Amino acid sequence: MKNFTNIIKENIEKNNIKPLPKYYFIIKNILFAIIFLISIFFGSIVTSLIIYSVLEGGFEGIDPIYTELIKSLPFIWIFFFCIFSIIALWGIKHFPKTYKFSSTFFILINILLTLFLGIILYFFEFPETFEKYERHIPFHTPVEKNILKKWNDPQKGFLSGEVIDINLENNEITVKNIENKVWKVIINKRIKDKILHEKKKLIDKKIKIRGEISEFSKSEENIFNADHILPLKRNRFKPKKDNVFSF
Amino acid sequence: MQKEKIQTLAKKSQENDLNSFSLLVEYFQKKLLIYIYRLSNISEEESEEILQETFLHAWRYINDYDTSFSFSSWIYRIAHQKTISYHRKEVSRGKEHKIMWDDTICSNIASDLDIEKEFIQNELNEKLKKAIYSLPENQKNIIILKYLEEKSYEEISDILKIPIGTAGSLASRGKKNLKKLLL
Repeated sequence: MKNFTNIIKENIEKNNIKPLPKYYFIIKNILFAIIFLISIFFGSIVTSLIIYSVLEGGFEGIDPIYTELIKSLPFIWIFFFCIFSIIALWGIKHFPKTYKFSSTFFILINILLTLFLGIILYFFEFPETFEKYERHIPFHTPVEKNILKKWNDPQKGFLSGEVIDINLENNEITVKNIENKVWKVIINKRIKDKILHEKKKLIDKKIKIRGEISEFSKSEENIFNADHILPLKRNRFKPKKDNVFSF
Repeated sequence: MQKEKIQTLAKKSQENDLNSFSLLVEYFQKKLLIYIYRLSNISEEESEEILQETFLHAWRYINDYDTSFSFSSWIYRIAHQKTISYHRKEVSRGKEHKIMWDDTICSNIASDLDIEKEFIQNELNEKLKKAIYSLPENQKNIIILKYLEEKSYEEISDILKIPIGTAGSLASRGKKNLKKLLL
C-alpha cells in the first residue's frame, strides 16, 4: 500500500488547495435556517387560509356535514401547504445534528408549528385582510364569494346578499344578491326586534337569510319571507365585534 | 492514536496546519482504504483514487467539521459518500458490487447470529457473502459498519446521517434477514 501522507501533502501544496473559510459554512447554515423559517411562515399563512375556509364554509347546514367539509377544503392551498412543508423539512434536515432525529419527528414539529402560527394568523384576521387585498391569484376564490354563491338558492330557501335598505315600518329589508338581483325580504317580529337598534350597523353588511320565496313574488319584484337572518361570515372562535346577530 | 489526540489534530488542521492534517492522513489511510474496499468491487488503483479524493475533500471542507463530533465518523462519512457515488457511477456502467472479506469477520457475524455451528467455516463464509450481497443497500451498509468496521451505533448514526434508533433497527432487520437467508 502506498503511503498517502506525502502524496496528499504534495498535492495540497502543489495545487495550493486551501480549506473553505468558516464563514462559508456559517452562511450556508444561515441560508438553510432562512429557507426553513420562510417555509414555516408561508406554511402558516396557507394554514390560516385553510382554517378560514373550513370554519366559514364547512358547516353551513345546507348539505350533509362531510359534503360541506370536502367542498370547503381549499385543495390548492393544501397542495401549497404540502410544498412548503417539504421545503421546511428539507431545510431543517440540512442543519447540523438534525439527522439524529427521524423525519416523522420533524414532520410532526412542522405541522404543529404551522398549525399554531396559522391559528394565530386566523385570530388576527389575516385571511380576511388577504381576501380584501388579493386581486391577482387566479386559483383563489374568496370564501365570501363561495358562501354568497352557496346561499344563492331562493327556491330551496337560501338567500344571501348585501343589505341596501331597511324599512322597519313595513317590516322589510332590501337585499342585493351576487347576481345583482334586488330582493325584498319580509321579516317577522322576532327579527325586527333583534335589529331594531342595529339598523345603521346592518346597512351595507352582507347577510344570509333562511326562509322561502313569497307567494306574492312576481317576475318584476322578488319577495322572500325570512325565518332567520344570519351574518354572512360566522367568525367562529373570534370575538363578535360588529356582528348584529348572535347564534 | 487516542481520540483526544485525533480531535486536537483536527482542530489544528482547522487552523490551516497541514502537518497536523498529514498526521491524520497517516492514521486513517489504512482504515479508510479497507473500508472503501469493503464497500466496492473496484481495483486497488481505483480505491486509492477514492481515498485521495476523500482526504482532499476533508482538507477543503475541514472547517465544516464540528469538533463536538468524532473526527473518525466525519472522515468515514466522506469516504462513504465518495465510495457510494463512485460505486453508483460504476453500477450504471454495469459493474457488480462486492464486499471484501476475511474469516474473522465471517465468524464474528455468524456468532452474533448464533448460526456458526450449522456450517463448516468455508461454506459459511461463502453463504454469508452471498447473503450480505442480497441485503437491501441500507441494511448492507449497517452490517458492514457494525461488523466489519466494528463501529458503535452512535458512530454509524454520524457516518450515515441517520437517527441512532434507525441504525439499530436496520441492523436488527439486517441480522434477521441474514439469518433467514442462511438457515
